[in-house]
Amino acid sequence: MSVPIIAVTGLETCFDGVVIHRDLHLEVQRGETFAIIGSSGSGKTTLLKLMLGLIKPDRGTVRVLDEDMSTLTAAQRRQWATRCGVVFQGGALFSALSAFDNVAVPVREARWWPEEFLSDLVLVTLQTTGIEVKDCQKLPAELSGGMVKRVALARALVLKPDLLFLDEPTAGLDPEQRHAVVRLIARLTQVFKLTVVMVTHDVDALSALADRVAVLAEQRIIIAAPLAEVVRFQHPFIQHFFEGWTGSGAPLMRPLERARRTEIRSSAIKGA
Amino acid sequence: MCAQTALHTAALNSDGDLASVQCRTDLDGHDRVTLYGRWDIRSIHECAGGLLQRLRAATKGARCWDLTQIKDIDAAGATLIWRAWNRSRPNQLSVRTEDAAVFESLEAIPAGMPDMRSASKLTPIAWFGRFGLKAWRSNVDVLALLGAAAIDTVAMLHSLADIPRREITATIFRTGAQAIAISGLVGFLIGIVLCYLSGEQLRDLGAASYVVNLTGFSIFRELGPLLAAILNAGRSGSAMTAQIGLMRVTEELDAMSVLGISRVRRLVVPKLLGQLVAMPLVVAWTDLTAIVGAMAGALLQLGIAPSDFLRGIVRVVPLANVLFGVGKGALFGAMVALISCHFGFRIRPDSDSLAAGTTQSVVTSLTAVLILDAALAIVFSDLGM
Repeated sequence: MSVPIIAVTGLETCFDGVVIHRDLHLEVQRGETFAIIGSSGSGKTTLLKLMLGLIKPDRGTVRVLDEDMSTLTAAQRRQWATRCGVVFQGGALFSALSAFDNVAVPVREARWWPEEFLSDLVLVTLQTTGIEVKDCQKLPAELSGGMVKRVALARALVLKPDLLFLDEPTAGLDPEQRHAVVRLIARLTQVFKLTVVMVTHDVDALSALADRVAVLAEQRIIIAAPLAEVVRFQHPFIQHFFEGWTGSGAPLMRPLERARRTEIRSSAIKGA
Repeated sequence: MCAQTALHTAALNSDGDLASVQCRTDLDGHDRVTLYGRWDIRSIHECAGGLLQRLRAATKGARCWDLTQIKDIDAAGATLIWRAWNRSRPNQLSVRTEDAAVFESLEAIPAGMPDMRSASKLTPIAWFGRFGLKAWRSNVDVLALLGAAAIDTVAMLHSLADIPRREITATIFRTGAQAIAISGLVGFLIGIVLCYLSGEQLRDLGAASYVVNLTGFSIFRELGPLLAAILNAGRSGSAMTAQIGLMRVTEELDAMSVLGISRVRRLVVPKLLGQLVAMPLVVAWTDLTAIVGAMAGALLQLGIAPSDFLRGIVRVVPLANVLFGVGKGALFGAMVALISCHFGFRIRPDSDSLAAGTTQSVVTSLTAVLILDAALAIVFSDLGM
């Protein structure tokens, strides 16, 4: 097996005496889309932040793109950052900057591209993620949730990274936007030949995008395998998480349908 | 015209692939340009200028472009080639299907787009006009806020259960109790400075004992209230603006509107009443520490005993002056609260607006306090004399 692009070994993280991760091991291979799921408060986003070097682990090592995240110097970190793109849950766009300027920020910071050619580069990148030229001068507050995600994706991809981190990429979007964003990520993953690490609760996104799914429970990764294998794994969280999921990428059971089924089941019990 | 030999300029990427431009003349006499290697931003960013020059040189006379040998291309590489083509496709172009999309995107960008970062420029007259209009609107808005706060306060007096006690006490604590240390220190130091500077002059004139009159009057009538108000505007006023502004950013203000909660009653009135209670106390405390500072200065520099200094203060500074200073503190506090809330409500949901709003709030509060102080000094010049 090739050298993993991310290798987490013996990770232990504590906040105010509360253990978040204990003896956690994880490997992500180059070119795969790796999803992390877990219940709220299980430490998924914390794990993502550890991979990004935003938090230091109490014990263990986190190696991303052959760099130990706890020993990176500022200069190494700047260099490393050009190889990673991150889309935060809320987009984390700079609120005072337009969509155009948000995407231009990484290029200007890296001083990688002459300012005179910058507008074409930024506009094409924005168009790649589905943002039209007429919307480029809008501020983040003037964009819809889906557009914010698209601009955030454009900002993450403009330096052509090797690795893309996505924190809840479909959170807060309506079903139509959600599907559009999932399709977009699938396309961009292919076009940019990306390795993707994604934290999500969205089963549709998992089935459409993930090559492997890691389940974070009881402070560790209890399984990291293809989705079909994970669904069959006997664990209360997994059974609950995939309850009602029909598999083969079909969307989750609609709430109304679920309520109707519960109703039918209740009346059947009463009848019995 | 391209030569038979290859023109080469390149960037080495991690795989050792070169972005290169090759020109050759075909057997039929046509120039043909072929691009090789990786044309993505990671590979070409260090030599973009050189590559563009080569591309432009190759463009002259070339009729046929072959991009099928490119290993990888992204928006950056395509942008460079597009520039060399002078923003239009050459007549004969071979490009892989998967790479065609990026050129289609470039074609879709309208020509002659306005400068992305151009800002409208105003003539000085227009600037002053706009500034005057903004200032006028702000004054009207602050007055409207005062009116709304007054109406809500009266309404609350009819139903005492509606009084936001917790918010009022929180304001008193923040603007009063938490300001004790800084206002005490500033008052003490200003008292010393005032006594030292004026004492020096008065001693030369043989009127050293008048330092008591001078420091007493200036501290109780002017310096105490002004120092307290300046600190209050910088400390509490900015915090009030930032708090309300952040509530705008996090949509809490919208949530309040939707829930039918009066912003004025929940946010403005508690701050206004809290300031009205806390500021006179802060002024009194600042007066006290400034007098202690002046007393220390008088003892060290002029040898005036503290007991003599205090007796002098009681004799020469009428009580009306002390009360006038404390009353001014209440007025300043109310003004700071209203202006801070007004600028807080004007903040838009972005970080620049938050920063600008907070700055404007503090500057306007300080200006308003000084104007009000000057007006009061003129109107009440005979008071307690």
